[in-house]
Amino acid sequence: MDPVLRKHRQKQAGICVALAILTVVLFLADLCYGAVSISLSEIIDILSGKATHAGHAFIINDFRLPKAITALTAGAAIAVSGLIMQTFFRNPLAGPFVLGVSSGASLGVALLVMAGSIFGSFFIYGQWAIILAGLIGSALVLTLVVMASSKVNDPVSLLIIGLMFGSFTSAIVSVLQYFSIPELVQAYLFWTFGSLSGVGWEQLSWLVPAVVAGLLLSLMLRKNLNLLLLGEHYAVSLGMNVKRNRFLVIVVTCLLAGVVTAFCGPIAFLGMAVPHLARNLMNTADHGKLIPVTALLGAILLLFCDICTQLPGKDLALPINALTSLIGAPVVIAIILKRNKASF
Amino acid sequence: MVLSADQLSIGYRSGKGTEVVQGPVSLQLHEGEFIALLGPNGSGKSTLLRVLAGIDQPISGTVMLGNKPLASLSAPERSLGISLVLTERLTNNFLRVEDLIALGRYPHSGWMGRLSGDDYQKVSEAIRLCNLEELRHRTMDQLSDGERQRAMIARAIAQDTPLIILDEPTAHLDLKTRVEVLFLLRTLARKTNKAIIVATHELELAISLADQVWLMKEKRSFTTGIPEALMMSGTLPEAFTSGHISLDDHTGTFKIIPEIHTRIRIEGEGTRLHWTKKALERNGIGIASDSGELLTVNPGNWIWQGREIHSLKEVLRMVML
Repeated sequence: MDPVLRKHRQKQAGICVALAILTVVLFLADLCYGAVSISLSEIIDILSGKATHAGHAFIINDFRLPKAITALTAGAAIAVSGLIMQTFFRNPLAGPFVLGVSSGASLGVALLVMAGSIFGSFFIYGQWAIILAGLIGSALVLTLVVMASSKVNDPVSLLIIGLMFGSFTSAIVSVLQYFSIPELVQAYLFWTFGSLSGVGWEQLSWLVPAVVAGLLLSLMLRKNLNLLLLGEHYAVSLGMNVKRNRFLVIVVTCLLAGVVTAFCGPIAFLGMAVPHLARNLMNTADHGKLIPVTALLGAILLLFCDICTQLPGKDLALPINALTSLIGAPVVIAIILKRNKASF
Repeated sequence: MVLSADQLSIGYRSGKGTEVVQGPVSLQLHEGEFIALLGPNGSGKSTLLRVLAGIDQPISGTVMLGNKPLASLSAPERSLGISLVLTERLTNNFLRVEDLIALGRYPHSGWMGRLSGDDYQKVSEAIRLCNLEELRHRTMDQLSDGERQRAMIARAIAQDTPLIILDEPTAHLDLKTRVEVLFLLRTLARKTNKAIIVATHELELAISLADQVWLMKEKRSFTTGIPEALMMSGTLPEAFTSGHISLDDHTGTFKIIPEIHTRIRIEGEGTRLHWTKKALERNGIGIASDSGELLTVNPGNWIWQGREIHSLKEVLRMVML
């Protein structure tokens, strides 16, 4: 193999190993930190079933472990969905949050939570109904955006359409809030803050398989995604089936972004920022490499954000959305300034 | 036969009906042929290319790729027969030249897109044919326009199809690079025995490089033939002569028809005589053998009405007085 290429590959392999180690470290750190600090050795004891402190075992098993697993899967899922959307829409600023997937989920949840009261009777909603509503809402908006994207050619128009979908759905949500009773508005607002701690073991048994399926499917899309780097016309001339690919992209994005948004609420910026980090770190456009690295980086960032939410100490925890925006927004600006232009 | 079209009409379909832009015309394309598709914007060049590439359907007639009707082929099947170089620009800054060219091997790979040793061999060969060895590790944003175009051509070569179609590959390039790109394509057609169709505005280059010219003048005027034959019959000169610009039917180059105000007599020989005449014509001074005013072009100087002059600039000034 030629030496330049070998050096490039070695560097990439090194980055992957470093990121994998960092993921494990942050996962353990996320278990340690919180209102009560628990030492690493005790965590290992608890995880291996040799708990000495019943209270700590409860905190880890029923609270921090599911939360850390949620951060891990949600971070990976949102980041990879952002990568897929940026390539599919040929738009460096695309992501589930920008193109209305998250607001679609919000609309679904808002309709479910609040519309019931408008029609007189209280709708008795559960977790599952919220998740389903979020999923249907995001799939609907994503399908509309994909249909719109085949009509417009330039990236800016698509972003504007995405923003308009967002404004439109949030306007409907505002109207709903106006007619709704305060308790339900509160329940809805709590969901929009984005929360990793609302996901228990039962929900995880749905979230994890959905995200794993989404990630595997996205790896199967790697060939089409690489072809789409040249644009849709070139991709077709190289044998891509446009309609099948479009369908698969919608399915994968809903499995990743739609499901996570439904479970955890909208998570801002992660989907847009992480793919840029991955490209700059790996210095490649190959999705076969970008998908795993984007997943790892997304998990790392969300675990890190989750640890940071505990920083105020004691009982106070910051909303995760505030943290992802605090970290994500400067990353996007830094990348654009560095390259003088955004590239996907 | 790589591609043939029988009684082909192309144009637009709209709600109101169909509008035929060119045709019916029959086309034949053989292995190793280099075709220049010429014509002004709006004459239907891009439409024809899209039909021949199987992207759009013709108004009437059939296109055969090898011995199969093009319309019956799926996108993966077409990708083994036709490769394209389009005008759209790449926007990804992380794509390396070598990886871009390797994308050309995707139609030959499985659903995971894993490439074999044979595929990498084909990629290396395409890199060598297009003189990209020095640039293989660069990313696309580090290339000049001409280098980028060469990389896109190498990608089409790596796709290894019997037919390559290029839509205005010389647009936005400087003159030297335009010559290089078209010459490269001609060389590739010879070396790889692939049929290559190029839509271009480079008339002079097309005349000296193409095996066949497909000429679209205006609507419903489609002529094909070898360039020299189209020059002899006057088809090409006629198509490109307008106002003060004409296509010289002898050299196949454009020439400006000068506006002559006065005429003088001129004597001399060789290159000095030729360029002196050119300079005078550009300034509206024609040549007439019966004129009384005489300019003599000598190897070392010029004589104008008995006076010796040492520079061409001075000649122009004196003659125009």
